[in-house]
Amino acid sequence: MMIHFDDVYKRFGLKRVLNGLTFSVAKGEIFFILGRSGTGKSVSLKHMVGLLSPDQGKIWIDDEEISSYSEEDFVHIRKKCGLVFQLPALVDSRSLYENLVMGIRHLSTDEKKKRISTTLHAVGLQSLEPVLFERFPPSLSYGEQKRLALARTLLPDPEILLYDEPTTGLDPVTAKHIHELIRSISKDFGKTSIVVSHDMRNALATADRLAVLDAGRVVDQGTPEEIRNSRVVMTMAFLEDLV
Amino acid sequence: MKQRLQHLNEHLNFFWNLFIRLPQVFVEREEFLRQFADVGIRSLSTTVTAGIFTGAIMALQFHLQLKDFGAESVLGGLNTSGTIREVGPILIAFMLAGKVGAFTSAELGTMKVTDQIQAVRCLGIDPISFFVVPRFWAVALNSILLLVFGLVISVIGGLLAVWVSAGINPDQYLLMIARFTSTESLALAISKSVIFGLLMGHICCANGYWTEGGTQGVGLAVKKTAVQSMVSIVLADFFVSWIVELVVRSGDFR
Repeated sequence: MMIHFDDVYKRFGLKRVLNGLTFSVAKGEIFFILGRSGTGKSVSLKHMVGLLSPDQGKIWIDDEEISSYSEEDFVHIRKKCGLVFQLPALVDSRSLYENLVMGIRHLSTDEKKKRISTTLHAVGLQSLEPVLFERFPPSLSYGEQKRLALARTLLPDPEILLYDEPTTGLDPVTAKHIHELIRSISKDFGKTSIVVSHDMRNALATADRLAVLDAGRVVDQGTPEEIRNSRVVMTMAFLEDLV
Repeated sequence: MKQRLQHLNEHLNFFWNLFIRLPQVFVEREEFLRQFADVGIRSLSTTVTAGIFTGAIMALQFHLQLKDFGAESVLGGLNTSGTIREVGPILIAFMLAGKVGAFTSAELGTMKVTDQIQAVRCLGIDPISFFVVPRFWAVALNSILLLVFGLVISVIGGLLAVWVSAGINPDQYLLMIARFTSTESLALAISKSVIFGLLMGHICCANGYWTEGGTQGVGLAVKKTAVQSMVSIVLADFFVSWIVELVVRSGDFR
């Protein structure tokens, strides 16, 4: 297994957000985590890159048990796992180019330019290539900012891609395009992807497997076909929106 | 009480962390230079305004008092010594804390609540070295230079005010500056500028970096920066003056 959560608990003050969360994701798989707001979806992603640490339970990334890792230990895990945040999280005061090279500062200028060109093509932002030095993130549309943030995460070439609600705030057409992008990046480059989402329709079209979370634990999981035929109340509530 | 001590300890640790990462300024020199130029240019008009009017107000007040005793000839010396030792550094520091401190806190706070800092951390970059250290040193060094510059401007402000409004002879005024303003006064003014600069740099960066809770959190961070900067500047002013006085007195006894 590439990623494995084993009975993970996390509490913020009196609120228990993760309540025995257990799931596994195989190498190269596209795994969607669905659930209502506040059920611990984003919190689980943040545990994988060490932005949060569990109160109890174990997390494995590529056969490494990371639940008690220090900030220094996470440096190489973060090279392996790229997180695309819910907000674009681009640095407003830096040019588009400076934003893109943040994760590849160690490379030569030529190598950086080559990688940027390839990645911008992959996310459909090749039109920005001539203006990378002059333009800043606030001059882009929200959809472009999201795709640029995705490009920034892809540039260091992580093995695992974590997406935190990648289509929040986007129109349905752009949202569909982003989901297609997630699928093509994962399949073309052999990446393992975990996507946190509310969007059941696109999740069923994109995922290899899905898990439904409620109150910090997995209440249902399976392939898109199994999820479509599920009799679990929470899953059925999400499927109702599709009718 | 325990919580306050813990908070003070966090501040001291954060300050030490920023202080020892000075070499990081050379690694992130582009960001440092950008911040340095930005803070400097943004604060120049405030410093000039604060300096001119601080010097002018003090000169007019001293003139009113000295006139009754016919001691206007020593106005330049008394005013300059008083302004650069006490009133000048504190007033100019207040103005800078309100402008530069609040801006830096709001900028870092917004970066924090919009996940910019977390995103950079996920790309394998230490956000303190990348975002905070260049800002801390840019604010601290700029504040030191601006405070010293503001004090020079305050001398000019004082001279212009009494020359125009009371017809004081500028040559006499300048002559008395050299006679009354001791090396100790200059050392005190520069010491205060250095300490106020470091305090402002630390307080605005710490509150910005520790921001939590969305836009409301950013507002709270800016408020904390304003209050903490002013209180700590007043306290530091008292302790620096006290320590320098003790040092000077002990020198007299010898």
